[in-house]
Amino acid sequence: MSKMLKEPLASVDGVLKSLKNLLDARAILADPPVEFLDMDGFVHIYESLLEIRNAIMATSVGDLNYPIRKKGYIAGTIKGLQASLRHLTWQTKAIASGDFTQRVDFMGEFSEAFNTMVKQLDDSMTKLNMREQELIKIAHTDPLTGINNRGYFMELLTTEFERARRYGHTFSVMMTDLDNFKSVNDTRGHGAGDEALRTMARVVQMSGLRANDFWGRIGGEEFAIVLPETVIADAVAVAERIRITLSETPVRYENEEFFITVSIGVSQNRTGDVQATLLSRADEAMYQAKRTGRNRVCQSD
Amino acid sequence: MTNDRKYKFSWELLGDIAAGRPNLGNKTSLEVYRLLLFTFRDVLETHVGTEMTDKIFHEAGYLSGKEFYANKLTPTKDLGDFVRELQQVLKDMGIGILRLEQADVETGEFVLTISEDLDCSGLPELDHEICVYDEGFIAALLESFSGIKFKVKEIDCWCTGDRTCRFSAKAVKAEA
Ligand SMILES: [Zn+2]
Repeated sequence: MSKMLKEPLASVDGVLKSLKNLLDARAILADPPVEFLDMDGFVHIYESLLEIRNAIMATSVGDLNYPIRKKGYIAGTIKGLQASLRHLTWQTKAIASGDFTQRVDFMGEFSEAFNTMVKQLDDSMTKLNMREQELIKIAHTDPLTGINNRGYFMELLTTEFERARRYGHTFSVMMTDLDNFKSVNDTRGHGAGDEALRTMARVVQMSGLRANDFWGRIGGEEFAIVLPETVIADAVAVAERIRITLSETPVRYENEEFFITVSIGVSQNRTGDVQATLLSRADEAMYQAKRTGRNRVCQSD
Repeated sequence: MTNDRKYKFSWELLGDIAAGRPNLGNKTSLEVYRLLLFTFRDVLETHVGTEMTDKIFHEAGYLSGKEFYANKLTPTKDLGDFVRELQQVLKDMGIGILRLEQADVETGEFVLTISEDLDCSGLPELDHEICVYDEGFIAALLESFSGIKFKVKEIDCWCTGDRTCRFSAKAVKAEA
């Protein structure tokens, strides 16, 4: 009688001990102790707890993909946590790739902090982008006239060369240089000279350039204008229009009005041209206009 | 048979709820929804067997997903936009809380979880996943979004002792 009781009691003791072990032991635990392998119910509980123990351990060190095969309340709760953390990971990746609309609403206090962070990130990025655009604009712009500066004009011209080569298109360029600009500066002051440059810029702006045409201030009183897909004869016509309009447009400075004129050289892109050869032909034509009396348009042969 | 359909679905069949229920409005108890679902299941099973019942529920879920996408969601090609809106609509309509656990657009593999699911959260424990209707529903949503067919399987379910329902979705590669 007493012998019959003694064995199961020893087992219960052992069962409790190994379950306690599952809760407390620091060692890595593996299979249930061999002496209990024929107790089906115990083996089931042991294996479930072991998987839960391992899953919690994995989750606590950041492994969000630990496979949990067991069912039941605790296993299900850990799966719920896994789902939340994995969704959060996905959202964070989305934010990292620029989607600042992600918000979290299932992680209590953390959600609020996270959402505030994303919003601030969004605001900062927007400001940074705007600032970047401003800086790019500043880097490309001549501060006096507000049009493209020499550097950016040259960039655009490089692109135009590539485009013309790729599609077999032609384009024309005009070089403009204000006449007697030095004497305007000397007699009326630099302010008047600046106003003359701004007037020239306005005249070109209002001259009906097309969306693909581009231009820039490339030297003191020199502007260059590029007309894509335009043959030289048509470019000369545009140059004439600019020349005449400028000569009729008063420059207003300190309650005074005066008139300025411009000499323009026009050239068309040829096979084998590079920036320097094309621009120097247009320059050459412009000097010819100067030599032959100013306030004229000349074209390269 | 195809020509004299009596029950062909259209979204309009859902009716003008505001006009029809001035006092009760767009409101009913979840028990009623589940009552309908589980009595249908019961009767269908006695007529056509378990397997066919599951197939019918899956197909109905699929039809529902197609219509739901067309009528409740904004067409988009962006996964982020899609998930965000779906999450919101599912929450607003009290269908469930969606989390996307894994999304590999290139291989077409998704894992998603729906907590507090309309169909099964709180049900007694069973020995099988029961959200076949959801499977069809999710497959249709993913297909409507991506233009690719999906095979969706519920891998964890409240009914099998989990706290949420978890689905794996895999793009069905077109057979060459
Ligand atoms: Zn389920």
